[in-house]
Amino acid sequence: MSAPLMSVQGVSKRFAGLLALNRVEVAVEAGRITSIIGPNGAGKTTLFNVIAGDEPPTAGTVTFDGRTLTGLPPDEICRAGISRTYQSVRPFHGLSVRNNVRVALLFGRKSRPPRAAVEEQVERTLAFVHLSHQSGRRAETLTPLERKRLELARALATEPRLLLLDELIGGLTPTETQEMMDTLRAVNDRGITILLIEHVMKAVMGLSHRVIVLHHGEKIAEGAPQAIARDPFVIRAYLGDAAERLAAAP
Amino acid sequence: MRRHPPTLRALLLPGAVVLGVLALPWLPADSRIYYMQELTMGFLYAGLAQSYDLVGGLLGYINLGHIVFFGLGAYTTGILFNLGVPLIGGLAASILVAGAFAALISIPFFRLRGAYFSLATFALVKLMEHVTDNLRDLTGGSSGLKILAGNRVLPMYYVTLALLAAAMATSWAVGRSRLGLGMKSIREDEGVARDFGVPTTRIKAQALVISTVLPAALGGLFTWYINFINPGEVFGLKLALQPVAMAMLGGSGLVIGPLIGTAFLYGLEELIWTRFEFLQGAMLGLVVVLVGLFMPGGIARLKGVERALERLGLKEDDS
Amino acid sequence: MDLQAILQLVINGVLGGAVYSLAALGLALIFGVSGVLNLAHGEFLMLGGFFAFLGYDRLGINPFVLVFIVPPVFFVLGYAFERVMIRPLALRKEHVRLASATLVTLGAALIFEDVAAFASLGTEFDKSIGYFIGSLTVGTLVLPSLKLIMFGLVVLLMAQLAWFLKYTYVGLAVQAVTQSRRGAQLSGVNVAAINGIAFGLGTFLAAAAGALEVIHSSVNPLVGLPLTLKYLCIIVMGGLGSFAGVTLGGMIIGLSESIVGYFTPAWGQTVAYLLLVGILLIRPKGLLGR
Repeated sequence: MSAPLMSVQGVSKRFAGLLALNRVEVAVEAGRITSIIGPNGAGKTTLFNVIAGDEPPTAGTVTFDGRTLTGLPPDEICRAGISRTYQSVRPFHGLSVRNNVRVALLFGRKSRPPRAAVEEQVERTLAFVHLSHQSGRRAETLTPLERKRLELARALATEPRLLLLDELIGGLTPTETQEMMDTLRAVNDRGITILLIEHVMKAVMGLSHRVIVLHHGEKIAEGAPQAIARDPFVIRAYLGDAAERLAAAP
Repeated sequence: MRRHPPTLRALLLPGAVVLGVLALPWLPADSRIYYMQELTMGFLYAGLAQSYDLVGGLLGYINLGHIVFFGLGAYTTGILFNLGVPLIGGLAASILVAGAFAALISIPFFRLRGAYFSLATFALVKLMEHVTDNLRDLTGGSSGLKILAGNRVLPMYYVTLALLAAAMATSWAVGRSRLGLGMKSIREDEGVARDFGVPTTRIKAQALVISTVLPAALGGLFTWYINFINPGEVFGLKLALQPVAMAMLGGSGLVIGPLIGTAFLYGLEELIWTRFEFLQGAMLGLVVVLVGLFMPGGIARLKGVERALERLGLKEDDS
Repeated sequence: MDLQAILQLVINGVLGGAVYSLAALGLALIFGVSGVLNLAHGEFLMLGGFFAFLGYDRLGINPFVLVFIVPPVFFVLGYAFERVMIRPLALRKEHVRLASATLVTLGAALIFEDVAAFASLGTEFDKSIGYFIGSLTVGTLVLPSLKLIMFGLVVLLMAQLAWFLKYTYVGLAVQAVTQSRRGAQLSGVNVAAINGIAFGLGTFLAAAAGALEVIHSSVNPLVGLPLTLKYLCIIVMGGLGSFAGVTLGGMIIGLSESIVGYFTPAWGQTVAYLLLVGILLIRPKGLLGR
């Protein structure tokens, strides 16, 4: 097995009295889709914040593509090739859809794209997430689903190698869920590695090559989706009687 | 929405205004000197409001200390003038001093957010006032700084007008640039902007330094024009709050906003002043209250006004 | 410097600081609950002082009694002020609401200041009660009883505030809203009413400070805005959201002004601003801020 694209080694994060992450070890293989699941408060978003550079870890390191990321500011980490979405969607509200993508495109890439290519690339990214017809509207006027699409578009605009998706699928209807899953598979087919936090089991089972389970800031299980669904530890901590439904899931 | 170029008929009124302003000094009116002086101050205030709005409107940091750069410019030019340095040299020095000061304070001050930032910058004004007051030997203290008098009404009129135009052009250019986009993203959500590669510290510093060029130049010119400055005036409460009020009243974040706000507030001030003997301050206060209650986005964003401005090609897309 | 002089400096500084803290706490309360920087706060102090002066001058009421009579009136005024001027802004987007509220309170401050100046044109500008009580002699030191009594009153008022915040339903609601408006709302707190109460309380404290100030010092119509700025400095220094920090900030300012003002009068007033900038640069969230 080749070296992981990104690895989190012994990362702990303490907030005043609370130990949000406790010596977590995660290895993400290039080109794969890995899911992180766990009950609320397990530390999943905190882990994303540490990887993206929004929070420095209390201990441990994050390595990406052979480079140590811990201690770097978020804007540098973005330019290194990692971008993200947020659990509660955070677009640039007062800016147009187009400008939301443009910011990421002009600032978030390893190297700035040539002037002439910018507009065309913005349009292409918006077309990919089916937001072309909304490009002139302010982000705050979009529907929740459209906002999620914008989150994805903005993250894709930086030409990331690793995409951190925080509950992108949560709150969507079954049809919208299927649509988003197809989109994410298309993203992955382009070679972009995906690390996603999700509660929607259909998406976790349907998309992931590998599932990691966090509970109270610790990794308690890791493996193929089907194996995780049957793991008694995990079931006890999180899945409860949803396990039956999972075993039957496609 | 397709943007049509403004029709000739739509440009008639604004065109006439601009022509009138340019031609004023040459009109055979008796009171033209008075109007020139009035307008000169108006151009000055508008320039201050415009340059303030680069940081206040585009970047979203309400910099109540903007006037510090004006005062620095005023004293730098004044002191150098008395040492024999010609105006141009003085102005260049003013701009350099103000810019250097901005670069210096940007790192610590921009670590502050929101109300903290505004108050710290406001305290800076007071601080500069006191420091200038106490450095008697250099600045003349509270008795003020005097320079050689001269009739400078005519050149001052055109120079301040030109600087105002330059300030507006700068706002327009920055707003459309990559720097401007970075600034707006910081205004909307600084944390997210950073996450998407925006080098926030550097952009904020750049924005601040750019915003200091105009007030520094205006400050130096002000000394040259008025011949006498003192700390209470150039670092004063009124002069500090006025650009902010004018920019917000007119429409913060829009190129035309500060000009509209200045025209409105300054015009109102002159109207009230000449009409009433008492309670002018109260009436000004009433206007400010009404603005706050009814016009959050400023005059330029009121439905009817917005449409008219768009038709004239004066309102850019600020999203 | 002899002990008497030092004592004088310290007492002046502590009293000055205490009165600052009292008014600043009022402003912090308003800010903590509603998020509004009430730029008219200093005006209420000035008006409180004026009313107290009138009560003493025209009606012959004892100034210390006035400290208990005047503030409740201003509680009502503060509540009404919020209702009429601030409440209508509630539905706007957050940063718009705050900018509008700042404009509204600034305008109100200008109005109050000018009307007060206009109304008092007939009599002298500075209003002062200049009350006199004999001093106490302890050993070799002469203690200004007036200032000590006043300090006691301030402490009493602050203690009342603390008790109110900790032990009454409304007080707890105020604390809840300060910490999390959404959370308080979801817990069933009527945030709109609490906003009004916070304004009323804050104004109550400002008026109390004014009534006290006019006893040993003076108030004039123009004192409002500079004082408000000073309170803002204190609050930001102490850390928005920390009442202990505000009190600490007020005391630091009061003492510094007194001490520095004695040695170098020119820099006495600058102290507040220097400290503010200095402290914020070292601790961007204020001394004890969250």
